[in-house]
Amino acid sequence: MIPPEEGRIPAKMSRFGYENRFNPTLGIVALLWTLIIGGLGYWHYHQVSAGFLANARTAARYSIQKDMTYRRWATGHGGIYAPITDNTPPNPYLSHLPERDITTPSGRALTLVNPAYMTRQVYQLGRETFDSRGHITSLNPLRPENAPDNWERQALHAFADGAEERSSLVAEGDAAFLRLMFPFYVEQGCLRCHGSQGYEVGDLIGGISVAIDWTPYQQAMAAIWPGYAIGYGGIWLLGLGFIELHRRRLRAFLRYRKQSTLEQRALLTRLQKLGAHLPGMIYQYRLYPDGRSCVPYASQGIGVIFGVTPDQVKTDASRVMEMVHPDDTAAFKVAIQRSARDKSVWRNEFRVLHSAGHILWVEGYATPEELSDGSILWHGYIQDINDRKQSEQLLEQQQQMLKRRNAALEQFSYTVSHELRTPLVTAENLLGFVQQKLASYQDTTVDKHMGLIRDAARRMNQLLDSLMHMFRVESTPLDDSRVNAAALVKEVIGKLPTRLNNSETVTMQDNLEGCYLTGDPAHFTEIWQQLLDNAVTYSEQKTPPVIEAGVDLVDGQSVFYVRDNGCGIDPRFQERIFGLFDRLDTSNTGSGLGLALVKNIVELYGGRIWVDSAGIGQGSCFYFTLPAAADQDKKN
Amino acid sequence: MLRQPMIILHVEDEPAHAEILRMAFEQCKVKQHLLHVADGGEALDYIYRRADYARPETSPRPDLILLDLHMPKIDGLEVLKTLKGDHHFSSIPIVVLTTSSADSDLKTAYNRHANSYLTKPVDFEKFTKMVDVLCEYWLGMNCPPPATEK
Repeated sequence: MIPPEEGRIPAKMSRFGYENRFNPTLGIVALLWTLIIGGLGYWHYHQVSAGFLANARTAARYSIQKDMTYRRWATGHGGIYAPITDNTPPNPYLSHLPERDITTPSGRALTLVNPAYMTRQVYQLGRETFDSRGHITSLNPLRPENAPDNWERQALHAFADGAEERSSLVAEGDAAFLRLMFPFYVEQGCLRCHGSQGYEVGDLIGGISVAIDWTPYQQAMAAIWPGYAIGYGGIWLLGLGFIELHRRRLRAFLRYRKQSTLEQRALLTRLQKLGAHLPGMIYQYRLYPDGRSCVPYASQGIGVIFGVTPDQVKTDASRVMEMVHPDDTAAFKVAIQRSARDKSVWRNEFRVLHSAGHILWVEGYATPEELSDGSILWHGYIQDINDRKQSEQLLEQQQQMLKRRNAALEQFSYTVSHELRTPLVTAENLLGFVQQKLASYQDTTVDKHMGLIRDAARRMNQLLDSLMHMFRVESTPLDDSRVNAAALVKEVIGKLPTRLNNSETVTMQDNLEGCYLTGDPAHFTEIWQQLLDNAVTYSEQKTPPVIEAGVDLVDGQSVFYVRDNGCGIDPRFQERIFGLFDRLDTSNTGSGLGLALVKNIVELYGGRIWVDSAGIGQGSCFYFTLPAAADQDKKN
Repeated sequence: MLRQPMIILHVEDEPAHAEILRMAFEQCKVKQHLLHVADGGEALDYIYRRADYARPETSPRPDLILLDLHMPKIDGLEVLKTLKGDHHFSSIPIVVLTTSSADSDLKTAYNRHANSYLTKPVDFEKFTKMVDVLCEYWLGMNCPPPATEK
């Protein structure tokens, strides 16, 4: 759908410009991961080292305790006797004892080996045999050779302060040793030798220390480190691999998002371009559950339909909702509610009170969908149907007019045949009777009947004249000139039958001066002539007759009138006087066609004619309008 | 026993037609008494004994009404409606006698319970023949409603 130039990132940019870019977030994550693994490894190393150290310390402790047990055993016996050799000479520090050296009955020379002496010899043996070094020492040694070294001295000082044990790794040349030392307290057996030094039982007399070679432990540890290194390194690499994988996915996501944005922008541009070329507007309309509504999207055509911009209704649609014509609002709202309720297509024709002041017929069509929050979203269009509506209305008007015309024509033909037949019935039948009478020469009513026959013939003639006049007026092609109403009425008054002094009897209101009539002057002349002639005819018996022609402005519309003070019309028959051949009085000489003709002409110009009379003898006033012809022009 | 002459009320605005009908009835074999009024208003005045027709002795109840349709002021159809709508007079047979043969007139007249509808023939022979048949049928053959106060 989207061509490359609009939506895709070029391949080169993807490889060199984007893929290798350092991502700071991921760098921090990798560093953290390294620190965690490093810390864990270090902690593990420390734990293992401490474990080895604890093992060495336990061995040292065990060694000392074993030595002390032997020593205590020896002390318990007050020392033991051993044969005097080069390696075991008599102990000079025991010379004060009476039985330091004894000879067995068989002559073997024995000397007393006290615990200290024994221990020293054992340690010496141990050093020579197992390279484990024990040492008994004191801050106040009897033998100067037993004096403590620096490490032992510090330990002894610590014991004097109450410490129970001292141990540490000590480097000596290339090798390392774990040195451990216990304090040594005076027991009863000790006093035999050390009593002279002033000790009492329970006093701190010195300490016993041992040094364990650390090398075997170091070797054991060295053997397991590579395994740990491989384990931790593997986990570390696994983590880095995971991060790298994530980086690829993140990069793909970012690329996708960037591409989507470009695509969206391209789509929006395309939508706007297309929308701008549509004849109406396309839009989205959203109705929230609480009754609020908005137009999230509208094409620029909203300016043509409503005269507002898309931004003005983006968050609140009330502005355009209020523009719906008041007469159409109810149906408009019902249609929306029905569409929202049934999820059916909304289709409506309504008028818009455009912000520019004019009224516009529009047609809308939209499909609803329900959103997760319960609001309804319509997608649709609204288009201007003003021209179509006007044509429809015009067509409707023309059809109505045609219908009326047809009905009138039908009525006309019946009426004509009836009315024309009436005099014929008279003439034919009277002639028949006359013929019968003439046969006997004895009848005196012949004159009367001949008179009636002549009347019938004259009436027939008059009817035909009127009919011809009517046809002529109604069938002439429409002239289209603009005439001044006052000038026209003046001319008509001048041509009225001179039964009265017309110029005094018939007056014209000045307000006709500013009124103009556009159409066929023959039509307008006919209207005024018929009405004024009738007024004169039915006012003749009044003294003085008063006839008045003029125009009133009612709601901006010109209402013309001809008023007389003549015989008036019974309100019951005021509707009927405009019918074809309708006469209220058979005795008068009218044809019954005049007012019917006037009515037809008035309706031809979209107007209406009616009469107002309080009743018999009260005078009459004929009103009529000519909307398609009349205009008030003050300038002329 | 001989029947009293039938009273016929002719409602007609055209004087010539009234005269023609009068003459045609004069030649009729059946004895009758023909009265003429000039329009619908007068016809109703006669029936309801108003104005000039207030005295019963000069305006006896008609046995038959011949009614024209197209008349000034109150026309025949309106008279028909009034009389057929009034139960005191709805039994009086009303024969419409007019020059109109418009469907709308026929329909309205029958809807308003006209008893018969006749169009006036232009031809003299047909006219007199029609009046003959009218008399023979309505004044001879037809059984009138039971007599009421005259």
